[in-house]
Amino acid sequence: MVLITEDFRKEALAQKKALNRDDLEIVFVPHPIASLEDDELIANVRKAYPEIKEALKRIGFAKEVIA
Amino acid sequence: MSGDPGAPSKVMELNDDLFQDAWMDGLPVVPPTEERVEKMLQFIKKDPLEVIGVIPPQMGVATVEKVAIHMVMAGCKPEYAPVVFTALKTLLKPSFNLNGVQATTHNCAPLLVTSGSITKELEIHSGSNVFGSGFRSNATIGRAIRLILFHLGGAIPGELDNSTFGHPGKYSFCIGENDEANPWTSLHQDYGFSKEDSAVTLFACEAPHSVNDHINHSAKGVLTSVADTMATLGNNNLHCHGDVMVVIGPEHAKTIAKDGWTKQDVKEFLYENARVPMSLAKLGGMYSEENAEAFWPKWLQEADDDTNVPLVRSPERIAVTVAGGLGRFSMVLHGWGFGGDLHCERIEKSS
Repeated sequence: MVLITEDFRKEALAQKKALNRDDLEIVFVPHPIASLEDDELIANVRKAYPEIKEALKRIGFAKEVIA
Repeated sequence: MSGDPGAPSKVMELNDDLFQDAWMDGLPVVPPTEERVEKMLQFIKKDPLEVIGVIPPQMGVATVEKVAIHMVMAGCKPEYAPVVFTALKTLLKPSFNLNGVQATTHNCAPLLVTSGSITKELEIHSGSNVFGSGFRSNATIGRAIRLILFHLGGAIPGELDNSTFGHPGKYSFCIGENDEANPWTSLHQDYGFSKEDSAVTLFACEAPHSVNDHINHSAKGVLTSVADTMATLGNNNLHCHGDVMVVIGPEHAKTIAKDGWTKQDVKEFLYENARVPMSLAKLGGMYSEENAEAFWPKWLQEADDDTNVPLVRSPERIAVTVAGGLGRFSMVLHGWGFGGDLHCERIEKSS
């Protein structure tokens, strides 16, 4: 599973197709990431987490571990 | 203009259609008629359906015929084929990471540097304005490669090519080494080939950055200017440690060689002196502890803020060539660091 920012959606899907990786789970998150402050990053992670969880389940992760 | 007033408009109509139906580089192309492509293929003498490789990131298949078509569109003479084919095969080596070079937000483009007798034979310009315009070999060889990377590789701006700025080398980026002005070994000799060979060196790099030194009459003086121009906070080499190329202008080369400095001396001096204070290196660019761990050698990861950070792992990661014309200038070209590093390949003249 990979996280990709929205602005690279077209590129990510094109690469997925070109490399025959139908199995690749992609979760799209808002762009950008590099310039975010910690609290903004955490807020984005919380928002994306349900989708990340579902993607991980689809590729076989069975158990959620909360650290 | 010509005996047939209809001909120019037919060419432009075809180009207008191409502009509408296919992504172009912004400039008209030579229509790849069956006759022109056939003439190109007759010179190349390979099976038109032979596969040269797949061009990432779109993975379009580059057959001999498709390469010939792109050479026609770019305006190449058939005799440029050995350079184009060797360059393309080199770009497709997994170690070059063309996929990354094509898709990165970094502003790099593959540069082709020819060296050896082929440079003169094909009139690949190596003198004044070498990075500029005005020379068919340079312009069309470089452009053939770019058109292949667009059409077959899909590196269309904003789609699969997300470079923040790109640079003019994305039109064409091909120069020759100036054999006459070079007081040292040829570029390809530095990579283990013999003096008699002809070669093309590929390097995905930023746009050339000028080094102005008009006052020094010593090797150390000139190279101090080069080193300082190399050592900036915002280049990719500092935090990602790829390769760097230095193109020494003929007048600078003469000054450096007059002091008895070899090319190895030049590389070692630049390695030692093109450095950024750690305290500054931590303030910008791509600095992070994770990147330091990924790219810097151990000694550098553990170094204190008084240390000066080199741009490359070793002197051998600095390529030195001579090109350009009159004037006391040289050029520095920073690499990407995540791929696109220097690759030198011998040109087999039968393409």
